[in-house]
Amino acid sequence: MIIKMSDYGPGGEVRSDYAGYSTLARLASLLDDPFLDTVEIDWKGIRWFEANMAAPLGAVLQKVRSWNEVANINMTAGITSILARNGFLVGDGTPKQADPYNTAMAFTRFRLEEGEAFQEYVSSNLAGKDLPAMTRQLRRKFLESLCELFENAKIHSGTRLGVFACGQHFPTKHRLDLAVCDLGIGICNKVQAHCGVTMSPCDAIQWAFTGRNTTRNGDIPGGLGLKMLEQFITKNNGRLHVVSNAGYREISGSGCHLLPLPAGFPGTIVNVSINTADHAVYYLAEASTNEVAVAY
Amino acid sequence: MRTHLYLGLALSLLALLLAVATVALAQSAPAAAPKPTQIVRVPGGSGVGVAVRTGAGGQMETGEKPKMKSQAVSICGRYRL
Repeated sequence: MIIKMSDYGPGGEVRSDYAGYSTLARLASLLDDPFLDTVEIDWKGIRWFEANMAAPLGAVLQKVRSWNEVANINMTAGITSILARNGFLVGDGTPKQADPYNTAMAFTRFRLEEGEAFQEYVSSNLAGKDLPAMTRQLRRKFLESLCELFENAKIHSGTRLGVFACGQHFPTKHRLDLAVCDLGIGICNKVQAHCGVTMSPCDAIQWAFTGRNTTRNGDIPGGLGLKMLEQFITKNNGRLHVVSNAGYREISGSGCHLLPLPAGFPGTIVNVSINTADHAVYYLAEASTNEVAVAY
Repeated sequence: MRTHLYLGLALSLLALLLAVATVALAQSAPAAAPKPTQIVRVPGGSGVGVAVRTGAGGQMETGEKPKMKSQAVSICGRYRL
């Protein structure tokens, strides 16, 4: 079975945007049912693949790899280079290459019980990648918010294949992207089960971002990290993509965009895109009066 | 002697009941609804003093000396992740 990426990636590019996620969703739906087959992903015609998109692609291919052999063919030298640097191609037998510019956040699959490893992954990989300046308290909250992406996948998705993460710093574009992906039931199914009503994937994602909505039961608050992340990204003029089932939501400085995808993605992708050209200083509002008291 | 024993037992039982009731009450009380954290952005070059320090695993940078201004944040710890 040969899958031509160019048939699904219009313009020969797969970026962290609506078109890019549509490409991966179409690819995932096509790869839904191969069994004891050899699947060749033909990259001919693909000139650009944003490295962080290796997280959702790797998740999709991991599912396929359970019962099939997967091979990547006709990959350009540029794409091979970046995907070798973040370790994505290790599964194909290509060893991980050195990353002299420290721009890659390695493609990593975490087991659900590896929350601490994910925290360490995020914390260590964000170092030295030009993130906006922030106070120590906010930095801690910010890291907690990123870790909540993992916790959400662990608690809500019901996946058994783990959580996939990959990031990339684009110094010339002044962006740092981190994608976290799971192959669970998706936000739509979870919200519908929680609310007991039928709603579209886009509406379900929007519900999850509204007010204090959470599908978490009990006294433990949920969803705050995601909302804090959204707040930060909006102020930072970055972007926050959430793809789940056939729903796509993008938050940026210009507002919120909700769009249905042409095919359903078999899980959830959250991509945090931070604007590294932002020279502002960030702090927590409630900490402002105490900030002076902090001894530096 | 026996009266004291009964009295002691009764008091112990009462204390136990009180403890159980307190725990039950605490658990049934609705948890305070958490509020989303509010983030404040101070544009670069706004004059707010920034004392540049290294966060855990961060990268040391040189920066402005703190300038005490009558703003919400007089000294803002600046971290590079």
